[in-house]
Amino acid sequence: MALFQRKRHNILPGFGLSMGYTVFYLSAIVIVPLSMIFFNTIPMGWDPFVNAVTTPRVLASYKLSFSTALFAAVFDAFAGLLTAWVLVRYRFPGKELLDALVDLPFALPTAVAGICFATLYSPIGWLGQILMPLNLQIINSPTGIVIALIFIGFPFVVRTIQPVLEEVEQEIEEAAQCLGATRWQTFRKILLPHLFPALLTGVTLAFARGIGEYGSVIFIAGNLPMKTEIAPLMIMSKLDQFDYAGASAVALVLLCISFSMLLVLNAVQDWQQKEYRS
Amino acid sequence: MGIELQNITKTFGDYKAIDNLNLNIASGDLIALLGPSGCGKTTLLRIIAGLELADSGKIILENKDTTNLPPRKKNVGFVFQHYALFRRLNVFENVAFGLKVLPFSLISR
Amino acid sequence: MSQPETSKNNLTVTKKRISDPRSVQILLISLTYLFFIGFIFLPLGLVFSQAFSKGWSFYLESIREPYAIEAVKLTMLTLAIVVPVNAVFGVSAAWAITKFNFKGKTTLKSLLDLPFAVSPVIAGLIFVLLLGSRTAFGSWLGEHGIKIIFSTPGIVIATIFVTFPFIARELIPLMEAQGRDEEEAALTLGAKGWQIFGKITLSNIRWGLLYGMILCGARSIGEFGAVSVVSGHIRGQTNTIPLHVEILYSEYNFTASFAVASLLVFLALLTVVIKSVMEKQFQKNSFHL
Repeated sequence: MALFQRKRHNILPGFGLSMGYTVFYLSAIVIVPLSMIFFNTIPMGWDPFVNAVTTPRVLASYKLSFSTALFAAVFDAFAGLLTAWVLVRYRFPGKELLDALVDLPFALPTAVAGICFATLYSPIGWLGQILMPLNLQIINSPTGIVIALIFIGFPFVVRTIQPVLEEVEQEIEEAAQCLGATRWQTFRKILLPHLFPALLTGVTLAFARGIGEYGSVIFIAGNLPMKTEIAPLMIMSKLDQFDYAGASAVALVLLCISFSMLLVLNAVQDWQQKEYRS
Repeated sequence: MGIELQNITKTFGDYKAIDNLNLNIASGDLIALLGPSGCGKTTLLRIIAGLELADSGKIILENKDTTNLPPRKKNVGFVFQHYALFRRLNVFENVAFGLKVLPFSLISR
Repeated sequence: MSQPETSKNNLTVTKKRISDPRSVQILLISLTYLFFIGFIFLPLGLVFSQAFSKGWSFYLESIREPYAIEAVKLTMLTLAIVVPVNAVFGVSAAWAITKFNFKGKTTLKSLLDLPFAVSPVIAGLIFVLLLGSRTAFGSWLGEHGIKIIFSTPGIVIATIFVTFPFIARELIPLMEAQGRDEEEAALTLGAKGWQIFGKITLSNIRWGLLYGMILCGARSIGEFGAVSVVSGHIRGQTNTIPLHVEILYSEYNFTASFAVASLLVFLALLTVVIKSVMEKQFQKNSFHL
């Protein structure tokens, strides 16, 4: 058996070349550069490292990035589920347009999104004019960051739920109906649990994306230290001061958070694959 | 009379699936509908259960006219071709589902 | 929504799917539109209203202004390098992953997800740490007259990092679904490696490859965070279009900023339309984010 498997390995030609080039490319572009973070933080020593990443300002930036990404991801869960439902289930004018536009936040450069929202919610902006008199300060506040992140994360949720929703068998809902369930009960007890793995995947993607987001956030955030300074910006400012070690330290923590998110995401996606295998 | 079907007609586009069907089935009877694929057997069952609306005719179950009732009010047990099991629920929850969604008014009976 | 059900003698009969009550439908559709208006339509409208707020001629001036043109040129140059390079990688990685079985395949696949987990600022940072003039490698390069960080090559490399998975991620599910049979058949018929790839594989994957390249290109043009770190922000030399937009904005030159930004918006809309069209033409769900 093992012999057979080993023989199967390289039947097609090109393994050496393709693997070799792939590994080389990844090493040069990804692994070596990323390792620089470690090379710049390890010489620091443990205590200076901890000091660098636990200053009040840095801690505040972590908290801000984390919490705003979380709020945005949760909001996107609702907005994304709603949109996916409406796009898959209903027919209405403009549906194709909306379906196409779901991808816009993904295709749009983050800087453009950034200046857009900053202008929209500024005191003379279309929405700012309405909200400011109501004492709702969006710009220069965490709320503004959340709004920008909602925009960014939205497509992830919709596009992970849509295929799953499309595949739901009609018979399941009919069976629930025959057994006496109302539409709401069918949704809550049958459909929602079915969609949950996909929903979780989408939310995790949006969250992971939101933590590291830079371009769309810095314009609306105002970048006030301790209040609206996101973690990536902290890294930027340390770089500007040529504090390479400090920047690497902050980056390392952020990377650890991101990588654990990636692991969580993989686990969730594996779970999703298992659950949806018919 | 358990099930009474009066003048049931159902058309899908150009295709007449059921043409002025009349059928009486006594309570307790075991009936089988036989026929080639596409002759309307499943359609008829779905009409009885309320999953389809007949174009015309009446469906009377246990002497009650249920023609326009939604499926969940018809109290018709239906077994689906592909089982339609609730995969996200375990066995107990699948079996219990019909009871768990009962409105309170019926539970007290 | 109805689903067709085909019976054996090929008559299609449509089942009416259980639908939600009309009032619920109207409510949900309205809520969705509300969200889209607030988050998609208003921002889009804002870009154009701001861009043209000083008139058509100002708009054209802003786009044709020398620094803007230089920014466009730099962005295009980056695009011209990044996309082909990443395409070669993407094809290579997809070939290795889908045509062979080997240990560590999952690790390799996860490595492809890396840029999505790394903040763009960190993506820029690592190249500054590796190739900046204050580093060992960087200063050695500097002595030989090669400047990478704060110059065009740095921008290109950082963009390569950020966009390298796109093509591979498009090709891998596609090639996995296509399997190895055709290539193996070609092998039995005596074809050699490059012949198999060129005559069989390439034509099978061409639409996925094209689509991946479009995604990769769109992202290269729009990348901001990473490029912001490695660029010197020197107008006319090391500014890409997004960076130019930022500079104009920070100078309170809002109209010009939005004018240049509108170019990017057109591009984004084009990307979105292309994706929509391609998805309709070919199998649904074979293209994804």
